[in-house]
Amino acid sequence: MSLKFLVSRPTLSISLALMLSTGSATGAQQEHNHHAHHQQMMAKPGYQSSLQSYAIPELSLIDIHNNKVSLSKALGEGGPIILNFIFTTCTTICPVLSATFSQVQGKLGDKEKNVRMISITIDPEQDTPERLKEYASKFKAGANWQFLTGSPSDIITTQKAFDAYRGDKMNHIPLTLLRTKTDGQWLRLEGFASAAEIVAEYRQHLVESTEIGALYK
Amino acid sequence: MVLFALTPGLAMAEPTPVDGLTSEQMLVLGERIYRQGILPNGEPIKAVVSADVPVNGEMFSCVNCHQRSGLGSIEGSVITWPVNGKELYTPRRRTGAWHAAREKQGPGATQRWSLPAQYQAADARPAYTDETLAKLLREGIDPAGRMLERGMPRYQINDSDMAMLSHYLKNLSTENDEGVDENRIRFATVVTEGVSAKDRQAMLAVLKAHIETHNTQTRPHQRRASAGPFYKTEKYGAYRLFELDIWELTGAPETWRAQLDNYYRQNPVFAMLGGIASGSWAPVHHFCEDRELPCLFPVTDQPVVSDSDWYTLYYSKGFYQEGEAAARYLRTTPDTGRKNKLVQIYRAGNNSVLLAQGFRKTFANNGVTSIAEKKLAVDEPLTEKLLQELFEAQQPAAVLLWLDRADLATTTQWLAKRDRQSVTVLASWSLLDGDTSAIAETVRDNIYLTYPRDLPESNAKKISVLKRWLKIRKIPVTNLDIQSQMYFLGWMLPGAISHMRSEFFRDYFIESFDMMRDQDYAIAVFPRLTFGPGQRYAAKGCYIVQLGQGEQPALIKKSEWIIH
Repeated sequence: MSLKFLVSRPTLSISLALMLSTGSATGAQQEHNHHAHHQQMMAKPGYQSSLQSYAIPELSLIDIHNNKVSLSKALGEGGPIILNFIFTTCTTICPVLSATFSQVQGKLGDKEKNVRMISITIDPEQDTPERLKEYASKFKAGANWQFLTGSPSDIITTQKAFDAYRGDKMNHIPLTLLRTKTDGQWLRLEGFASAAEIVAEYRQHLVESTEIGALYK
Repeated sequence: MVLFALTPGLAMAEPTPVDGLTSEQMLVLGERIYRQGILPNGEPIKAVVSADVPVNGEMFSCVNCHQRSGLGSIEGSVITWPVNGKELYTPRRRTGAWHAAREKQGPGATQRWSLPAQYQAADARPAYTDETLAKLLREGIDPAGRMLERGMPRYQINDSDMAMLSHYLKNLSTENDEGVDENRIRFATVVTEGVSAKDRQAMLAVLKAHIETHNTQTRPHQRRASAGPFYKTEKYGAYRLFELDIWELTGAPETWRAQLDNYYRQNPVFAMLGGIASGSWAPVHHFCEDRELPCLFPVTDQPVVSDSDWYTLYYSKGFYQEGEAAARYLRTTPDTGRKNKLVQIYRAGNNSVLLAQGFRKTFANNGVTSIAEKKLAVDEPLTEKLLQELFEAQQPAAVLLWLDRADLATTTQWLAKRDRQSVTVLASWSLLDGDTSAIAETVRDNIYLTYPRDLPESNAKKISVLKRWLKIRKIPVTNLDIQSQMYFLGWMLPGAISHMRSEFFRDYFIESFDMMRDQDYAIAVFPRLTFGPGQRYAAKGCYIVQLGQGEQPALIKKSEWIIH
């Protein structure tokens, strides 16, 4: 039997599931070995952070108004961004990530109005623009929080670009990615960061990246 | 499933009394907290998730992660543990580290070698009590003193509401559901009057062949269950012989419900497999919904389209889905969709109504284009005169023609007499039953078809695998579409059963499909089947095609499978 089930009741198979997920993380890590020199992995309560560089693929996704949007344009062409991956029928990880984003909206100050938030679905077959629109309204998404879907292949390419692809949507991880305007590097938060922590990480990253940028001027 | 209507002989866990409520009333209120996140006072329960994010229970109810069965889930790196009483109120043993003494193992339990007590690993946590369960929900700390992940909400719940919730959990998924015993699982499949003998045979032959193959595996599974690796014991131990009843339904669809109830009373089944009906599947769907009885992949183009119904898992939304695809295609085609008028022609009392519904509902979000509709009476033919009148009155950029072959022939004759530059016609491949002979070569540029299956150019290899499988089992190819649907179901079934281990709860069975990875194996007629929590239509796409030239025209793909 080569059909694969995800285990929905964690007993005997948990050790295997954990082994498998460790395996995929290791594989993903290896892909990014060339970035190892500027990775700083730090454990925080509830999440881990690291600094990463990602190449943004040239492709178009679709917003909740059925408009095609180039990914690089949606990502603000270098501007400040907070990004995550979700799907609308996800019941465990995504509601937490989305509720956190909803809270982050209110915590960003007046000076941070240029920070855009983006949620990209990892279930493009189910998540039509209409479904994403409903989902956005459920989480009270404001004008600066955009939701994107697209063709299944473009969505996989996008996830791979951010080392967020885990083979199947039911295998995904809680992940938040931040980028400030100044140096293009991404701060990767794996786990459940609180709204206050996301905003604090963003501000800290802004300060650090500005300082690093100043050194090279 | 919770035993609301108490079955004689089954004891219900005694609740802590709350305000003079009966046990049944507490179960109802407890279920509302568990499933909807609504407290007995009608307010959503409040919680904090991810350390500082206030949320309400409607979006963060227990059922979200712990599932209807209460048996939990795994999503990526996040593990959600079982919360049904029999799991919560006993210590959690470590996997494979502990086995009860031989005399304490229940009937049918596998007897294995076990480490002496002094070498066995300690329990992962002690049994919950009502107090430690309340502490967990309020503070996120389990009876072993461990802090749970931030994804688990911390709820504001008072003692009396807590008593209702814990009473509900103690009665959740306690006894295996009907239709299963130590050796067998009973299934049923529905065949209604009016289904052709050929189609009936196509469905039953493949189902029976799968079941026959499965039922030859008793000895290897028993051996694996008793001597296989410890972490697979439970899955192998779930093996049961499959039995399939055929529930023949006769007469008018209004009478099917009573017949179904009668069949069930006589011989309860654990779930329904496949099934085929003449006309709408709705009567069987509602029977399954009311009985909370899973029904896997019935052969139908007329399912119930719902975002909330739970117990029937379909391949697709059938005709409705083709209408949706046509709307999405036109919406993404600038000259026909966004700014121009459309005309939709369909016929009453027919599958074309479903196509029209799917189109209308999906297109409604566009807000720019107006749709003029013409509904023909059941026996009203489409005439060239009517087409001409509609065209002159509306000047449409596209015509949705949800009609049959004869009407399409009329349309092509009418088209041939016109300047065809400005006319696009969309029709349904399924409604034409694949007979495109009415589409003359001269008008093929104008006519588009919804095509809800994989394209011949990409599924030839899968079809040949299926044909080989049928040939080995001496099953003649009679209706490859139906046969391929049952072929996939037969492949999925043993996996879904072993996934349950020996927790034979119907909700858990359905949840195994919710948690399933997306599939492209053993599927001959769809490009992909995708699953997810609460998703009940596995094939989500539909191609738009045109016909090539020649007497046996190729299909020219005009869209991707998924159209946004």
